[in-house]
Formats: sequence, structure tokens, C-alpha cells
Amino acid sequence: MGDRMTEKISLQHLSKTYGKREILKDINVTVNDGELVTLIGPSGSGKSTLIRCLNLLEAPTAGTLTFNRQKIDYKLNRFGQLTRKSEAQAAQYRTKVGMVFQQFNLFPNRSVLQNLIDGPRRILKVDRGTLEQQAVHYLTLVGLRDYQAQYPAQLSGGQKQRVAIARALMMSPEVLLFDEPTSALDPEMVNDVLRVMLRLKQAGMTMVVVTHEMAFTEQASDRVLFLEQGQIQFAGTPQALQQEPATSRVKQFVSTLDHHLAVS
Amino acid sequence: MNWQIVEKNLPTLLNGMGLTLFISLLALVIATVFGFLIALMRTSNQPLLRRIAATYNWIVRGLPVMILLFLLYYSAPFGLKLSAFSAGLLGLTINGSAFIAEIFRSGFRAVDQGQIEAGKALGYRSGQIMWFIKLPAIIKIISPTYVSNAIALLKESAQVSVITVPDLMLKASNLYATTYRTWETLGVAAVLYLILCSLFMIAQWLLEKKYNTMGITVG
Ligand SMILES: Nc1ncnc2c1ncn2[C@@H]1O[C@H](COP(=O)(O)OP(=O)(O)OP(=O)(O)O)[C@@H](O)[C@H]1O
Ligand SMILES: [Mg+2]
Repeated sequence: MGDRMTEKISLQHLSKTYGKREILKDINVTVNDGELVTLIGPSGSGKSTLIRCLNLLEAPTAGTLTFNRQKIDYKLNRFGQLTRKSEAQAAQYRTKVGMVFQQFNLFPNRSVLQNLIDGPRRILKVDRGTLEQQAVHYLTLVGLRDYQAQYPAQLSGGQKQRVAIARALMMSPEVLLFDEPTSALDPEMVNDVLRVMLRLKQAGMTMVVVTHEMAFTEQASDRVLFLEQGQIQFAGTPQALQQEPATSRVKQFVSTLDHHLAVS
Repeated sequence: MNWQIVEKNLPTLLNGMGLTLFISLLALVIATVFGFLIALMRTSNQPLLRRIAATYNWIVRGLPVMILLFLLYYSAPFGLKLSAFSAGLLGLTINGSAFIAEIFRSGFRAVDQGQIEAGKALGYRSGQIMWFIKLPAIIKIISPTYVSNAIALLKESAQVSVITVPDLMLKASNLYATTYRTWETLGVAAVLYLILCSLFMIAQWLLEKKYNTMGITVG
């Protein structure tokens, strides 16, 4: 079945160290076109570091990154950061790989509409008229059609996150990365965001999602990766995860999340 | 208070006031550009650049403006005999740039990393991040401190009178020396300085008003 799938993004033999601490150890991840891969694991296991290596927001200490089977070259300077040249190439690459952050990271001094159109206008040089139409389209998709003129401070967390998703979509990315998109939200807003993500999945978007939402993970993901202490301890479909023995690390981790839900 | 003396000497004082404003604004503009560059060096990841910038700021900020002015004017640095105006402008600029560099540096540190990352994730190049994300955020953060500093620079510009730059201070003290009328000369100069400084304060007020109308936007 491997060759029927189109490989979208892949990181092979990824390792990441901070000083002497090895945060990620020989990780191999491949995400195919249209796939939704969720990344779960305890706090500090390296989920954010891993997903940020996928768009080079974090510079891998070692590893091969490919996008549409093309190698994305990068070099590090002696501080372990991308060199100036690699950073410029990474910027180019990132236009095709959108990211949604836990803290939304909207531009506070820009209206919702400006948040959406600034990027594609400045970077892709798309004309304003086209972008405004596109913005209405995506704002409608995330259920915020009438919020164009609002500023981020006037929105709820859930609304901000949906604007952030629309902003990422405006670049017409081929992959979307989500780092705990609902963790900063009040419970009643979580579903609004997850629903939008589900809709994107149905529309065929390739997605990598770090999350603690197990219901979403089971329902929406094609594959689940369980990360612990910088290593992938489990990789498989949600069904395969279900069938893991109760004593397995991944099952134990999931049960702590369930426990958490039962208490709250 | 003898208003006749005031009236007679006012043109001379206004003339000096013009020069004070000119030399201060020019020094401010150049010092802002240099201060920005020094702040970039100070926050660079190259240790050598950081060290040079830190040393510059350390020495300049610890050096009394008046000594700096004397050195520039009388010592003919690098064999260059400077005019009073050039030495005065250079002194004010050097002094201002070190303080403005520190102001920019505090601004850089206060910029929300999340916004920078959001820009990177969208594909902004580093120059675009500086121009579209960091600078607007920094301007908002530093503008009160920056304006205070600009006012201080304007006031301190009075010290260029000691190297014979014919600014408001020099004009006023010369008039005092010939008339011995304190209020009619130095007193009027004080009012004129206050008017100049008020211009800066008005600018700050307008700037803050602009941000407050967007106030809701500032998270
Ligand atoms: N810039 C850094 N310098 C040093 N250590 C870091 C840095 N960033 C992350 N780490 C360390 O790397 C490890 C993995 O961090 P990471 O943020 O990837 O974990 P995570 O799985 O996303 O955790 P969480 O669920 O809390 O978000 C942590 O132990 C963290 O302390
Ligand atoms: Mg994290």
C-alpha cells in the first residue's frame, strides 16, 4: 500500500539536542498526502520540538527533511541555529507548511482581515481584491464571516484560534501543523475548533496535530504517534492503539488522560 | 521684569532657539539610526559584535556630555579639527546613540516571541519580521521612554554652549553677561526651552492617542 500513497512530508533520523540533553532521538516520521497524524505523549516528551522541526522553526541537530520527496536542505551555525541562508530557504518552505499555535499568536495590532491578508500579500504578492474574497471564504469556513473588522483582543479564545486557522489557510499550504490548538481554550470552545479541523481533514488537508483530545484523536486521525522521552514508542491506527495491551506505555498514558477527563 | 529688554533681545534668543532645535533634532535622528544599529549588534548572536556594542554603551553612558564635548572640540580627534557645531552635533549624537540603543534593546526583549514565530511560520523573511512585526511592536513599547530621552537630549543640548555653539543657552548667557538682567534673559530662555520640550510632549501625547484609539487592539 506504500506506493499508492503520496508522501508529503518526512523526517528521517531526526535528532535534536539542547546542549548535552538529547530531546529527540532518531525519530522517523512520514506523513502522506491527505493524512491526519496525531502526536500524543506526556509533557516534556518532545512533541512541540518534533512538530516544530517539521517546519524548521526548530533546527534539527541531525536528520533529513523532505517535502514532496524533495530534500529541504538546511545548515546550522555554531550556535545550533539555521544559518542565514538556510533561514531564508526555510522561509520559502514555510509558505507551504502552515502552523497553528497553542497561544494563537495573532498580530494584536492588525484586524482579523489584516491578519488574514498580510502574509499572502507581502510574501506571495497576491493582489488585495483576490485576497479579500479568499478571506471571506475562509472566515465563512471557520464560522467568523462577520468578524473581519474586529481586533484580536475583541475575540474569545476559540474565535482567535479559528482566525489563526483561517490565517494559515490563506497561504494555501499543503500541510498544516497544529501544536495543542485547543489546550488554551475554555472547554465549551474546544469543539468549535475541532470541528473546523475535522472539516479540513474531510477536504483532504494533510495535517499533523499535537493534542490531548483523545476523542478527536480516535475519530479523526489516520495514525497516532506516541512520543515518550524523545522516542516514538507507538505508531499505528487508532484501532491498533485500542488493541494495545492495557500494560503498554501508550495505553497507560491514554488512561491518565481519561482519568483526567473523569475528574474534571 | 523689564519688557523692553525682553522685546529687544527676543530675536536673538529666538535665533538661538532655532539652532537648539536644529542641532537637537539632527542629533536625535542620527542617534536613532545609530542607536538602532548598536542595539542590533548588542542582540546579535556574534559575541564580538555584542562585546563591541556593550563596551561602547558602557563608556559613552558613563561619560559626562561636557567632557565628551570638550574632547571632541579641543583635542581634534584623529587629526580632525571640528567646528564648534560639528563637535556639538557629534557629541550629542554619540551620547544619544548609546541611550537610544539601550531603549531599543529593552524593546527587542519585550517583543512577544509568539508574534515573531507566527510571522516565521507564515514565511516572513528576517527583514520582513523586523519591519512588519518587531518594529511596530517595539515602537509601541518604547515610545514613552524614547520621548523622555528625546526631551533630555534637547535639554542637555544646552551644554554645547560651552564649546561656543551659538545655541539658545549661549545667546542667553551672553545677554545676561551684558545686561545683568536675570529674568529678562535666562528666564525667557527657560520659557523657550519649556516650549521646545512641550513640542516633544505633544508629539508623545498624539502618539499615545493614536495607540489608544487602537487601544482595544493591544493585547
Ligand atoms: N530552547 C530549549 N532549550 C533547552 N531545552 C528545551 C528547549 N525547548 C524545549 N526544551 C526541553 O525539551 C524537552 C521537550 O520539550 P517540548 O516542548 O518539545 O515538550 P512537549 O512534549 O511539547 O511538552 P508539553 O506537553 O509540555 O508542551 C523538555 O524537557 C524541554 O525542557
Ligand atoms: Mg508542547
